[in-house]
Parts: sequence; structure tokens; C-alpha cells
Amino acid sequence: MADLDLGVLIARCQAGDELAWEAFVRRFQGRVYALACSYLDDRDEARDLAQEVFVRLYETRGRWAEAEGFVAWLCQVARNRAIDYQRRRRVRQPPRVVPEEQGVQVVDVSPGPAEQFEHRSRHRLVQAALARLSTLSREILTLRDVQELSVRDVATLLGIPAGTVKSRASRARVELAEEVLALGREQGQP
Amino acid sequence: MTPTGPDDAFVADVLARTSGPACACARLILGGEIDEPLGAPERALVDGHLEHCAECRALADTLPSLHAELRALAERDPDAGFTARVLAATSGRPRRRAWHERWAARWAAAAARPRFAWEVAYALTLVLVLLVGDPLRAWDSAAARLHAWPAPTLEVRLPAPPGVANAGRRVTSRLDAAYQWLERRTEAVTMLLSSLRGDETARSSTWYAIADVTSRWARLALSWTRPLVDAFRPAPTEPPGGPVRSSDHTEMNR
Repeated sequence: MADLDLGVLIARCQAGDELAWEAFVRRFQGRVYALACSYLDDRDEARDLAQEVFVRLYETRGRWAEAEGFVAWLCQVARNRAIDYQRRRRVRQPPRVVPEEQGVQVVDVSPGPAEQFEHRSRHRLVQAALARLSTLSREILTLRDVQELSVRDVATLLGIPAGTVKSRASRARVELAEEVLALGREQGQP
Repeated sequence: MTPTGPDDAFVADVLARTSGPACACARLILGGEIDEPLGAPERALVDGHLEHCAECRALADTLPSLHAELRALAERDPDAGFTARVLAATSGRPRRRAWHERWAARWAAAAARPRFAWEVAYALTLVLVLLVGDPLRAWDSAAARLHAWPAPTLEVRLPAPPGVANAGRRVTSRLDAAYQWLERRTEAVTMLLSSLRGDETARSSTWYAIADVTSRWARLALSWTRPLVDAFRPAPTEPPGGPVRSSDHTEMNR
């Protein structure tokens, strides 16, 4: 399915086009779920949160951002909902610890089973390394390198200066690389 | 920094005794290379460091591939039924209106209810009582204030042009009759109030306060209008022999 122009898709969703809404959900579900996973350890909770984000988006579809800054805005909505969710969860019950094997499934496009396995183990390694970082470093990397938001968008989203985003991102990348190398050595991977 | 040759060992010794290893600086620059490409001097310096530092070289090799791997984490597959669940949860769900729209709609719905007028009246009465105090108590103090209000003295000197005098007399006589009626009623109310003055229960009632204020108002109105009525009253006919002088009165009293 060819991707519809984002501006057109947004306009149609706002006009109440149910087909456009379905296309919108399909287009952004992976991204929203990935964001939810970066904030919540539990896979089911991350799915609930992603669903909650979409329901909220649907209810407020008259007030969506323009196509130009839509992804950054979507990340902000997801982040805000994740923080609310975490706050509610903290009040309700302690977080569940989920084994790493039950972690998220990355959208995998590699052809063979051997390559798939290699990709999965590598992704698992990167996720484990990410989990070892501080919250701010992980969040900056998620927004800047994973979701590829601009430095300015990340700065606006986190409410910190752009220079701080750059320096923290540099440091976080180095920390992540060091963790990956260390974990790789531990697991005997290159 | 791990020395890889005899020169490296010497450099490492010197650095250890001076600034310390430059690995942290090199790594920070390498980490920032994704945001901003390095300038020629930084590139040359970092390359020079990497040539002699195996750990930083391994890190520099890892960073680009790691960046690509991170980008692959941008999307994750929730599960097959996720879209269907979202669509089911949002199907037929109304658009959430802006806060001012919700506020206006809530007020419109509240105002459409039959008892809204009563509620507003209750609320306003409550506000009035909170701001002013007991409104019925105002009658008591009003009566006292009214009593302390002195009646003005009014002196009217009206010319009596021919033709107007008769009409003026008719109006005056009617006004006089009304005035006397009002005076009698006021007197009756005043007498009633006087008889009730000893009764504490009657005096503390609102009706007593209202009647008291009304009678005081009436008496004030009478004292104000009396000079006006007197001004229109035809002058009494003088007794034969001219008007009575004050000296005559003195003589008569003697």
C-alpha cells in the first residue's frame, strides 16, 4: 500500500473519514508502540498505553498538529500519556518485572531464519544496553536517534536547551556503545 | 588508552603525568559526530588518537552501526489484533471538544433545566447574604436612621395670578383632604405601634419593623409636604379692623 501524504491523511482523519483513520493507525502503531515500550517495561502495558494514545488522538482529532511537525507532536503526546500512565501505575500497583525474552518484537524485514535470529539477538543486546542507561540518556537517544527527531524538537519536548540535548546525546551514544561492547564481550558476541 | 607500540607507551606515560588520557574527549567528539560533521582539525586529531587507541577505535567502529540499529527500533510490531482493537475502541466515539466548547455546552445544559432559575436565585441570595448580611435586619436600622432625619423648612411664596387662583384652590383642597387622610392613617399606625411597643415578640418581628418604617416614612413625607400644602391654602380672611398684631396678643393675654 502506497503511503498517503501525511497532510492529506491528517485532513481526512479530522474530517471523520474512518478509512483514513484506519490507515493512520496502521501507519503510526509501530512508532507509538515502540515509544510506549521505551517508557514501560511490560509488553501488555505498553500495548494498553499505545491503544490509549490512539483513543486520545481520535477524541482530539480536531486539534492535531500540522503535518510538518506531526511526528514530534505525536512523540510528545505519547510521552505525556506514558508519564501519566506511569504515575497512575505507581499509585495503583508496583511495576511488574518482565523477563527479557518476553520483550518487544522488532519489525523484522530480514529474509532468512539465521539472519533473523542474528538480528533479534543483536536487537536484544542493544535493548539491554539501552536499559542500562540513565532515564534521561535513554529518553534522549530514543527521541533523537530512534525516532529521529531534530535537536530542536527534542529540546522543546524535554524542556532543556538544544546545546544540552547535543552534549547529552553525544555522551549517551558513547555510553550505549560502551555498554554494547561490554555486553557483547560478556555474551561472546563481536 | 591502551598502548600499541613503544611510542604509545611513552605518550601514555606523559599523558598520565600531565593531562590524563584523551579518550573521554575523543569519544565525546565521536558521539557528537552524528549531530554535526567534524571540522578538519577535529577529524585529524580524532583520527590521530584512533590510530593509537584500540578501545576508542572499537567504539568508533561501533557507533555508526549502533546508530543504524537504533533507527531500526523506531517501529515495533504490537500484534496482529492491535489495529482492530484500536478501531473498535474508537468506533463511533465522539470527537472530544475543546475546553471552552465543553464549558459552554455544560452551561447551556444546566440553563435548560427547569429548576435553573431557582438555583440561580438561591445562589444569588446566598451571595447577597454573605456580602451584605441579613437583609431583613436593614429595616431596623433604617427606621432609626429615618427618625434622625430632620424635616426641612420650606417657604413658598406663590403669586396668585387671576384665573389660576380658583384652580389652585381646588387642587389645594383635594391635596389637603388626601393629606389629612394620610395623617389619620399614619396616626393610627403609630398608635398601634405604640401599643405594641411593650410587646417584645411583636417588636422583634419583621412586620413590626416594616410598619414602623412605613409610618416613619409617611410622617417624613407629611412633614415635607405640609409647607407646600399650606402655601396653596387660601389666606384666612382678616378680621375687621385689620390684622391682629403681636402687641394686641400681648394685650389680650394680659
